[in-house]
Amino acid sequence: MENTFKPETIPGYIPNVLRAFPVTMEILLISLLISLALGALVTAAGIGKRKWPKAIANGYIAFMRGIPTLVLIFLIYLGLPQLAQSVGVDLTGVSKTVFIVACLSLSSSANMAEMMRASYLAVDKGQREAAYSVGMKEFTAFRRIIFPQAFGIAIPALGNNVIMLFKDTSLAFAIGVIDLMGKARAISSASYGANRLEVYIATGIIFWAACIILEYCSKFTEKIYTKGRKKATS
Amino acid sequence: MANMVELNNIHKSFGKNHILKGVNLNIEKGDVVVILGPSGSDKTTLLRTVNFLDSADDGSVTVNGFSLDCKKHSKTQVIELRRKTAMVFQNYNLFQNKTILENVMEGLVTVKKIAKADAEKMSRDILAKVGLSERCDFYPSQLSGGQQQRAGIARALILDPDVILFDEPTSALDPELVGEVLNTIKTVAQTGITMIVVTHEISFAREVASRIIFMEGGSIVEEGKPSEILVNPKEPRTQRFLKRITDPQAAGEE
Ligand SMILES: Nc1ncnc2c1ncn2[C@@H]1O[C@H](COP(=O)(O)OP(=O)(O)O)[C@@H](O)[C@H]1O
Ligand SMILES: [Mg+2]
Repeated sequence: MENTFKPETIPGYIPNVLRAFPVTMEILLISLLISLALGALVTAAGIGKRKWPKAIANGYIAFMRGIPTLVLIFLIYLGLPQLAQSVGVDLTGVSKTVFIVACLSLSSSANMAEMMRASYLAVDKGQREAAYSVGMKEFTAFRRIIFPQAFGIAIPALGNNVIMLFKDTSLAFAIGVIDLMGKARAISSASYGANRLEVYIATGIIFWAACIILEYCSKFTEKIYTKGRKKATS
Repeated sequence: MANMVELNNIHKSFGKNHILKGVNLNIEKGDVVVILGPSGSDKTTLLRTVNFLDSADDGSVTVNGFSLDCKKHSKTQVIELRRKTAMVFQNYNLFQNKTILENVMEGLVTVKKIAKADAEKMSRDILAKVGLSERCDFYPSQLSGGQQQRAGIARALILDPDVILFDEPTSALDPELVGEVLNTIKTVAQTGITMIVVTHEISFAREVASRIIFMEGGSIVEEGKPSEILVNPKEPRTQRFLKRITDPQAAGEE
């Protein structure tokens, strides 16, 4: 095969691939919100005193962190409808995007839960005691004192988790969603793969640039948020 | 005169470790009680049972007529009791995510439900009294230990509590900053507020205490006026402790 690599065509593919950007963003944002909510729930169960919720939360985290996201996607996309059918529920009408969002939310929620637990525990216990000593209720102390400090501690890890989640959205193509990666594949197959190297390089550049921006946002947020404060760690 | 604080038969264990062994203590309104005792003699734990940061296993705590059974109480009751007290911590424990002004306002706004503007005015006034007018908008980490502790005292004072608990308020400070904090506490003591102060500062105790309690091994060994305890302690354990703390070198050579 002769060498047909034409690097000068790479920039031309970027706008084309970018047309799928809204799909990727939609997947990212919805998954992010759900994974945060789910992560908070798992964290609450994990640091609580009750034995069973604690065991379930720890088991959930161990399972979700151990399973590759792609395996989870296939399991849920292919396996769940089959399982549902056997109990008489028809899932064939559910869109692929919903499946992807569900899978990414699940897998990211375990990372979010770990992040939240670590940040929560990193707040000096004297902070809670001081809040109680002025007569605050548990929830008030959490909302006004503990959470804001834990959030400041969590920002770098949160940035990381968002970047990981963003990169994982590219797995959506595996079940045929036209996200950035799906779009790239579509463009490449339209020309029978002749330009695939250029297209994938263009796609890589998009992901890379977006990650750089996310990274910067995370650093910036941390700087603004913790301005003038000591990071309260025990 | 009615007692402001009553501790009745307080018992506390951490696991198998029996810490407080039936402590009884009555404190009158306006009393400044100084608790002395070697390190590890459970002074901090005793103080924390008063506001239920550590809940005692047995006994009862009464503050200004509000009585709680240590064995049987609800969260709401604990909060009601805590709202009659305030605490100044060894490590200041100022809210790291809030400025000094916000630290002092926090209890007024969230607990006493005072309007923000009024709370701010009151907080600025009290911060001026402890000499921190210029530092209102600083975060705790931007202040010296002495300034932080004075802010901690302001945060406690503003709640107008029935009793303030001080747990070694100067132990974490550089020596040259101890004076400013002790002076602030002296000023507070002169206002007639009831105080329990755990400290190792003997001359401070002599000056401000209306009563001194010497603790060791989870019990009160001896108590009385400063003139009695500091000058003529009866118990050998108190004598040894005072000797050690007033003349560490001589005690070391024994
Ligand atoms: N949360 C805790 N868990 C277990 N043991 C504790 C705890 N807090 C204090 N203790 C123990 O109680 C004893 C008294 O501690 P403390 O009240 O801090 O003494 P002091 O303030 O007089 O130095 C110590 O032996 C300490 O190890
Ligand atoms: Mg102590």
